[in-house]
Amino acid sequence: MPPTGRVGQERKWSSVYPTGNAASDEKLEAAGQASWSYASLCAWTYLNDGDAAHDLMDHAIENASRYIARHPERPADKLTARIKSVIRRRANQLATKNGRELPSGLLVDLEHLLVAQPDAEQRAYMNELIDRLSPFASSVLKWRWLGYSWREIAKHLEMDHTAVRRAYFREIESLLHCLSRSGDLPQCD
Amino acid sequence: MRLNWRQSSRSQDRLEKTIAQQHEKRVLTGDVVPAGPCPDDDFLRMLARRSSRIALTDPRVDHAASCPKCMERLLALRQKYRQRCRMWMIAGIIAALLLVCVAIAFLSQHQIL
Repeated sequence: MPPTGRVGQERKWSSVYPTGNAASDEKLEAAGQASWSYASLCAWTYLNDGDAAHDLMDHAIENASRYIARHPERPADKLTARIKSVIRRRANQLATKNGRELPSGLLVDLEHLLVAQPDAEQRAYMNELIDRLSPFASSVLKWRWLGYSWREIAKHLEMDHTAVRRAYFREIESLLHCLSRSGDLPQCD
Repeated sequence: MRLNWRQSSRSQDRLEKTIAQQHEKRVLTGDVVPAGPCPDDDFLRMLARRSSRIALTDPRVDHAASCPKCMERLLALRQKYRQRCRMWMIAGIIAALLLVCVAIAFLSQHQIL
């Protein structure tokens, strides 16, 4: 797949971050072309967002242009390997950042709601949440209320305790997400 | 989706506590319909102590966590159990302190210290 810009035109990586040396620009262009499919793959694999490939490539090409300006003698395949490595690292960083923001954001939103909303509204929101819990999460809620630890519950379910806890909170996160989108409630069942 | 447990575990704990409190309120106000008959007092006592002899799949466990009568009894038993634990802990600390005092007195009497 040829690299195209956000508006559809073909993109020249070397013209975006020129090194000031024609030979280095050529190497950068070749390495950029060779790495584009990898950027696309990483964008889907790590971030589930094809458009993120452009941002990954921008970041990697900027890094590579500085590198080739320092080491103009390096061959194009070394440059390609560097670009791919930067793309992978950046995609991993962004995925970790996204994973951290989403659950925390939802929980913080809920905490704000619990503080700011009147009691009746809070109760209605929480009741809706509890009513929508799956039989698994509902059982976990009851066992936790009874005072059983995650390890005891996991032992009974023959699972790892972190997996049980993660599955329980993931379901709550997903329900919170559904409840926060007005008008979409029937789709969340 | 990857979760960062270190960052969000406090929020999760608070959320879990809120949900558990709401569940308790719902049950105590009779909003939840329990299934099956109420278990006997011995079973509730074991449940309050989280006895390992109780299987979590036991239908009486599910009933006890969703019946207002059983929940009230469980809350009372749990408080009693906690008070007893606290009492034993205080007694243990006092006994340990007494032992230390006796040991110091004994050692100083025999001029070992």
